Amino acid sequence: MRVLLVEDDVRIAQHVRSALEMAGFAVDHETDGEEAWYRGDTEPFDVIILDLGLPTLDGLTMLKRWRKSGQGAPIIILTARGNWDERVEGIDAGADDYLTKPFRIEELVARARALVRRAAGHSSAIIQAGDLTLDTRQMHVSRAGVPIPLTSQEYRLVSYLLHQRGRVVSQLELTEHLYTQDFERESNSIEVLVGRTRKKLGQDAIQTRRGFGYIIGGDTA
Amino acid sequence: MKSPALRLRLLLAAAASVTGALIIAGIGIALIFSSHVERSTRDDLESQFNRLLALVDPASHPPALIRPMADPKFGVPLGGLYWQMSDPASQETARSRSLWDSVLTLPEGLSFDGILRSTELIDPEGTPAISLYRKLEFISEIGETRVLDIVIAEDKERINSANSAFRLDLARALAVLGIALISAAWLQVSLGLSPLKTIQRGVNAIRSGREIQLKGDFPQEVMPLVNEVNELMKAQGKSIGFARERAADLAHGLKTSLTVLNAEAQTLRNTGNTTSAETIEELTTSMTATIDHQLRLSRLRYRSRLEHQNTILAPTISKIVVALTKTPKGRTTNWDQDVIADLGVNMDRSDLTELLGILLDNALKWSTSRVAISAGLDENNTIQITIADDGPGLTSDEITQLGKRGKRLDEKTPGSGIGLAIAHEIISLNQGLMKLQKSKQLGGLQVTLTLPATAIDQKMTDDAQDL
Repeated sequence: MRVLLVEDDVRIAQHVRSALEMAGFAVDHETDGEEAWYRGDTEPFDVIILDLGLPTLDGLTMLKRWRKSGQGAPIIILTARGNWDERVEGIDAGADDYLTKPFRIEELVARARALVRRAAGHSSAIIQAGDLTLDTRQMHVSRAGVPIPLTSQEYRLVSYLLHQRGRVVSQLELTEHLYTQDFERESNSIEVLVGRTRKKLGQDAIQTRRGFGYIIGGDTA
Repeated sequence: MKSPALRLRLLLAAAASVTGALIIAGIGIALIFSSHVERSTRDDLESQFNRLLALVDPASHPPALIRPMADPKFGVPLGGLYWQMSDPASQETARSRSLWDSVLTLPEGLSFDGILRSTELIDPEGTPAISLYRKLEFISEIGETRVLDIVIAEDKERINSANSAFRLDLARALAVLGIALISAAWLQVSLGLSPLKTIQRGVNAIRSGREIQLKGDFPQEVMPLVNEVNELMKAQGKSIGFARERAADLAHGLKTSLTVLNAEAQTLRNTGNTTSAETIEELTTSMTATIDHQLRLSRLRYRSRLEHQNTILAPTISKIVVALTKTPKGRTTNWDQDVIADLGVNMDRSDLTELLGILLDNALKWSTSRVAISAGLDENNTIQITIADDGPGLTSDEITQLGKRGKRLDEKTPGSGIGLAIAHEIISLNQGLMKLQKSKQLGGLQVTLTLPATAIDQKMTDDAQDL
């Protein structure tokens, strides 16, 4: 899951980034409003965390511009003011959630996780496909009740495919949602990652649709 | 000391000027008319004098006329027109029948200078008469030389009555003209001062918050004032905005640091240093509450009782509920809304949003699964809003404590107390009331707000607001 974190305070950003990465997110961080708007407008993100008080372009304007241009990713706004007028205005402008500073970072992570899950159409924190289970809160993956230890990249892959349960996900889409922009990857990174994950989950856990991509929870090919 | 109204001062000045000008004009016109009448009378008298000369019989002793003067007034005693001929040598005198037994006394020392002189004499009635006289020498057919002092006179009664009648007519005409001119001056003053009335309405609109600048077309002469007022408002707005922005920036800066402190506390907790983590978290909570309180207070609008505002209640509540349903708990809570459409609250939009946001957030926080909101007009034409939840509710003592401004029930609950303190401030600023009681419907706490409704005339004039 890829998240765009727009926060001009580097100290907060470091903490949030670290917590999000621990939670299995690939985090792209921007401090400048204009730059953040451009990236949000041109790259696919699963969730955007947006601080309203930004230099060069304020968060509310950015939010309106994204929604106007069709950016549909869930957006959490962070505000220091805490007054209701601003919260209502933020939600009215298209935000999906808001947090008032100072917030607890684990709460922000939980909300980001919940938004991603709901955006993919899952109401529960536990997503299942056959005997494969993902507990998004505990970050546990198990098969037939047996916990499977995964690396962060493997977890991201399984998590993304389970969130998109029953849908074929192309290599390109996986690349866009599992890695940050500055992550150096080889052309066969996804194939290698899928192969490695299959060894842990079982060969049939992730199915390949030749020429199209990968799927979890689809009919057997 | 209060100065007289500008309109009254201008009207008095206009009335004094008009009256003065008309009096001077009246006197002038009356003098011109009088002079004209006198000149005309003198011309008529001169003609009569010439006709009299043509009828003089110089050979007659005493002097006589060949035939009577044509004008019958000469033949009627005290008829108003008189003539008299006297021979200084023989002391013989002839006079018109109108003179009866009176004699016109001419100035002494008449000479043969050929000039027809004029003087004012006293006629037989004892009133002044205008007269023409001349010393003339006649030579009769038999060659006798005869010197005669001839005078012709007309009493001034006709002139005086003509002058009086004219003056009366003139006074009436000038009075009508005066009234017309003063009315015109009143109209002019009213028209001239109407932009000030417009400015007054504009300033009132600014004061009530309906406008932020003076708007409309103003005459060139008052534009400097309008521009100055607008500049002043702009400067004031900037100043308030600057102060609020600085307060917000300060809060932003402090809260950003507090967020980092919270994160550090979490790190400490993760490494087992729970006591230090809790101390830091308690401090950040307390500091956040103080910052929030002051920041929110700085955003409240202080306004006078005369100001009228119109914030439509239903969409305000709906938007807050939508915002709350974005939270994890709000999403699973049932929100019952029974708010009469088009109810207008006489409150600033931001203040009403803040007040309802605080109370609805509080209701959500304590609710189990349901929050009910209803609003309507009561018999006193004030708006009653009730917010009830199905939470644990409060005891009577707790309600009493909570009703006191700034009191908190649970000092450990983050943010508790501050929201209600702000709610009390907003209600107090807007002449409203807040009552806390147990909800009969849901069993939890019920907050009943009494807020001023927008006056009907105000509602008619205000555009419906989006929020």
